[in-house]
Amino acid sequence: MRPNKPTADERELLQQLDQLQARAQMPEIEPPALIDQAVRNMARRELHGHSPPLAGKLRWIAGLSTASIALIALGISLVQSPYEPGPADESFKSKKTEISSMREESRSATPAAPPAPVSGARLKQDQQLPKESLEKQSVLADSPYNQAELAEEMESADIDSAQAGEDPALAWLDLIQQLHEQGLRAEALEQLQAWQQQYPDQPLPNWAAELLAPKH
Amino acid sequence: MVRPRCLPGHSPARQILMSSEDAACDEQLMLAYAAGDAQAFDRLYEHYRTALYGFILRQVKDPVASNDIYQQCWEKLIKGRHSYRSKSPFPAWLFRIARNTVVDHFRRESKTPGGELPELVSDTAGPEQQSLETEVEESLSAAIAKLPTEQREVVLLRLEAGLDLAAIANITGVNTETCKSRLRYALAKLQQQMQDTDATSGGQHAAQ
Repeated sequence: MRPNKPTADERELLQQLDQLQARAQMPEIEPPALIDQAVRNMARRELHGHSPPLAGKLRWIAGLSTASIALIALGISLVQSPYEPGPADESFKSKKTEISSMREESRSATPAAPPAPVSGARLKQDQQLPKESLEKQSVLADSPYNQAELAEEMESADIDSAQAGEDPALAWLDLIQQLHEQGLRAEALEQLQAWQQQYPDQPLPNWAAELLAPKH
Repeated sequence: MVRPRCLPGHSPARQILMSSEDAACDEQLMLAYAAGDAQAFDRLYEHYRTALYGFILRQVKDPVASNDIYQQCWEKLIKGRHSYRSKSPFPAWLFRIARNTVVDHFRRESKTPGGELPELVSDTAGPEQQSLETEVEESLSAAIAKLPTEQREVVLLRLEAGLDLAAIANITGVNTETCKSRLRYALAKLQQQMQDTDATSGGQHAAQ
């Protein structure tokens, strides 16, 4: 609304009023200082409370906060997700398989061990194994990893007995003697005949020769 | 009554007749405040504080109520800053708010039915005290106080806000001719009152 140009009549009226005011010197009335301060404070408070430019300035902070929160959430979800093997894990697995197959090959190349019952060292070891470890073996038998581990352990036990200098032929013979002494003559004889076939060059002790000799 | 506007030395009475560049200054300050410039408000407030307060107090004649109305006016302006459009001259907008707030006050006080401004009681002091007051005080203030409310309103909108007749007519909700008529009557009474005061004062000084 822009003011229209006043007419001469209006101008004259207004001039008369202005002249009257100039002559009378109508005093200015000041509002109380406290009210001045209250109004100014109100004006500033309103600007700080609902200022669109201020909101604009803070908008980038809000965006940054949102992005940070999203990043943290992504990090947490990655940490909590189940493990999936990567390329490095695959190469490690193939290497392991290769080593296992090499070990199998080397094992098959070595001479065959005597039949299970004749392994005195193994029998002794089984007898010496504590009950707890046996239970543990049975419990862990399902796990392929644990079975392999146990097999490796037993293998190393064999190696240890051989390294200790114990002759498998003599050990077997000891076992046969124990059977004979316990009165199990038939079993002892059977085992002794088998032993003799396995070790024909081994000299026979007296008790073994008596056992083999026909009874009259 | 000379009040600074954008250019020092410009009285409110000349605001409307100033160049469009000068007249746009307060409007720009108001727009700057609406955009978040607190200092623009300070300048605007400094320009209009005495004019607005004088307009209200001379209408209401009650300092306590005037203080309340004065604050309400600025509060309305502050809260409604985003609705201000520069097409409207700032003083016209400000004094429209003030006039409406005064009318609301009178309505609340039930002094006038139907939203008309009340006919305020003239000074109740005796003739001797009146002559003393007019001698001590500025005579025009007393003369304005004795005007009928509608005439006083027109006079104050001119003297305090510096508005022209078209703007005053717009604010008071009457046509320009009615506004001109009210001003003419008011002017005649004021001139008569001033002459009487001068004569009384001159007679008293001569007697002394």
